Amino acid sequence: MEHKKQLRIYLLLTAVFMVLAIIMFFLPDKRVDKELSPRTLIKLYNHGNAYYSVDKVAKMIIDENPALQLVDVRSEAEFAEFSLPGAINIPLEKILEKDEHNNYVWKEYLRPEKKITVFYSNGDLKAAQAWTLATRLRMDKVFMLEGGLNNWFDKIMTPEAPKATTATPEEYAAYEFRKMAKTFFGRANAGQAASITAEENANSAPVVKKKKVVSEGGGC
Amino acid sequence: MEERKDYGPVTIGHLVGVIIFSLILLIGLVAYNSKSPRYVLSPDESLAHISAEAKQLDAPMMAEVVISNDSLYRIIDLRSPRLFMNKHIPGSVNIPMGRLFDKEFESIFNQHERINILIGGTSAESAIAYMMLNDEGFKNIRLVSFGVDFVLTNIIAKFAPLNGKYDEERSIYNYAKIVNETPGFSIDATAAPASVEETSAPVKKKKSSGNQESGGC
Amino acid sequence: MRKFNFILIVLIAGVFSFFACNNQAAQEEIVVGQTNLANESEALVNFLEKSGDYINSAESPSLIDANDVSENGKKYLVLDIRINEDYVAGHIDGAINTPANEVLQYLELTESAAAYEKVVIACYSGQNASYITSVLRMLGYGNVYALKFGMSSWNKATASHWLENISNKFVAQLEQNGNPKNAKSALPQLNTESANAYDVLYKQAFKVLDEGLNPAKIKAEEVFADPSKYYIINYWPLEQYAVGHIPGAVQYQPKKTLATSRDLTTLPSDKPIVVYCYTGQNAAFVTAFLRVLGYDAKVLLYGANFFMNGKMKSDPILGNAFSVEKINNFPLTEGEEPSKMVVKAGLASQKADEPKAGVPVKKKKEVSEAGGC
Repeated sequence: MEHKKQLRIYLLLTAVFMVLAIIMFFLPDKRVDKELSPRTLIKLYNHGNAYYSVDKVAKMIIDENPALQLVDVRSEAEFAEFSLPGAINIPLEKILEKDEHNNYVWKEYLRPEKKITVFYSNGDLKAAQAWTLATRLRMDKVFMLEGGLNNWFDKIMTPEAPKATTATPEEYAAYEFRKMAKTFFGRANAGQAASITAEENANSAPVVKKKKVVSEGGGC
Repeated sequence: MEERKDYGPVTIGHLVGVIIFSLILLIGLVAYNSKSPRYVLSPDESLAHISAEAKQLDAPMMAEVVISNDSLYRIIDLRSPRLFMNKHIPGSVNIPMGRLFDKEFESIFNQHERINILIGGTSAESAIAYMMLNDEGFKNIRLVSFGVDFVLTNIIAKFAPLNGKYDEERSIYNYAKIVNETPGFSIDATAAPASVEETSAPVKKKKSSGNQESGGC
Repeated sequence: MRKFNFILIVLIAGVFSFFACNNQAAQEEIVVGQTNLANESEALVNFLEKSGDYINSAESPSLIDANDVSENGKKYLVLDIRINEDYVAGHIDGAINTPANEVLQYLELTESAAAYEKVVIACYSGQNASYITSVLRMLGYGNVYALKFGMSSWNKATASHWLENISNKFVAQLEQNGNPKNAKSALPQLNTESANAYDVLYKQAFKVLDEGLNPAKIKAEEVFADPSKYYIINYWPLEQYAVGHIPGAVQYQPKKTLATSRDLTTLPSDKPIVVYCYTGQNAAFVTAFLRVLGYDAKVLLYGANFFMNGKMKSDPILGNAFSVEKINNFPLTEGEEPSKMVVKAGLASQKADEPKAGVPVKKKKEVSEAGGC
């Protein structure tokens, strides 16, 4: 009888462990909640949606697409020398900076829930590193500028005419767009025409928005 | 004394219980670990590692590796098998990005005999694969700031990596100059620089204000 | 109650085992030794030969014609290495005045060669530019060219260097017999304390560029005064060598022979080497290569044109004579900074009229335009 009792206890314990093990099996990794697993991250990259092409970004800038947020991950000095219109500067080393509430600073001004973030650097490398960290930390809608600024200047600022013999209509269309984009981003002969009214206002709109964000941050 | 009796003689029931218990423990353990790969480094540690940059090979160093054929190094091509079959760096091994964590390749990364150089179609692939492996705690890996095609045409065919010590993260063009000399519509000429200056300012301001705040607290 | 204690311990141990387990085996970091190379010259030659073997390739010598620069100059970066005075007096439109020993630093720090289709180095006669181009090519600057005949081919006003240095002075002293090459010997010993071949190359290249052409050039008078003092390389095809060469000169087939598998090691490392060709430009390429390897090589200035120009003109086998026909009449720009003339010309308004979107704007000159505004 004594033995039967013991056996019952053991069986009970076994059942408890079984339940525990099953729970454990389905319990997600605690870190997985905050971070994307390496496997998922690689999968995300392999789906080929990690890049925004220079043409796409150029079009978004020209269309003044409010969803676009360009992030320049180069150094402050490089950013001061040249940056894409509307870009903000978060040097790669500072990308994980946190505020006093232990929240990532980028969460405040990148607004990933509303905006599409496109990281860029001179090449692919630094942007990819920023992308990897941001994606790992489960930041949504982050992308890299394909080929970086070097590619931007190759394609947009110094477009090459397609070869007459082999070019497809798409290539011609792309070339026409780039020629147009080039003049959009060019800054020579400033102040030649006087008609700077509606467009200027439209262009400065996102700037005002940015300022709001700043004051919000400052108020906290 | 009395309590000792409670253990009683060992019965089949005891044994079955222990065996089932250990089995379940084992299953749980295996199930948990099969969720790997997992990060060993925190994001901050990861960033500190890539900022150190000592693990990055530039064009001359890559040329050294390819030319000296040093068995200390193993070049790992991260591109798809199709591209790899088409053309690849002599002596390189193909591990496509998507199969980076496959069990069959674990012995390639989990060793301390050779240094693995990760190279993909672009430097982004190299950087991402490097970070994934490095953050999982693997050592003896290197990244490069260019792709396989660059090595094939500008290092192996002839050593002409455009700029002596080529690094993709070095600006090829003088950006500001080109933009300033490119003729544009006058509206953009005035509006674009203004917006750039304006947008850059808030970030800096924000940072400094944040610092002050934390300092004040 | 001991039983429950026991069970509790097992339970806790079990739970711990779930979390404490880490399947990543500890790896040791391989420390790559920074030991210096034992045989630097061998490593250097191996590196150069396996990375394109520039000096023996079809791309050598990388000379560019004045016509090409005149036509496509907008796409090229032109570096004028003459002294500032001469640059101010007249230079190619858009050229940048860079001291000869600072060209490498300029390309490393200021302007990226990759942003341009070609980088053209212009000097007085083409020889100094060839010398520098050769070193840059070895370092991996694959789009650098020397302006053929230098500024002498650009305009009559800048052609004095070539016009004053062609003669028939030593045509009587030429020799027709062939001379055998030396026996093979060791490469010159280098001691740059480098861990790898590229470091050796870079240090040697830097040294050669820093010293400049002065220790690497020689005049024909000196050579003809006592040819036996030098190991003289005639860098011509054999049939032309047979027409007549400097006494004692040894023929080396151009673009082929200066490899370890061929005749590179027949060069003496203990005797000054004089390299000559028709114009001194190809020889300057070879001289730079040899000096990087550690040989005491010198280029014979103006090549055969200096002492047998007339024979080259008359002999159907030889050719390659410099003559006034080589001098073009391309425009020269005066002034200190390229910017000043551009602003004066009012190019800015011209540009606004024509869209010219198709032309890559990779040019230096227009910067200054912005600076001038």
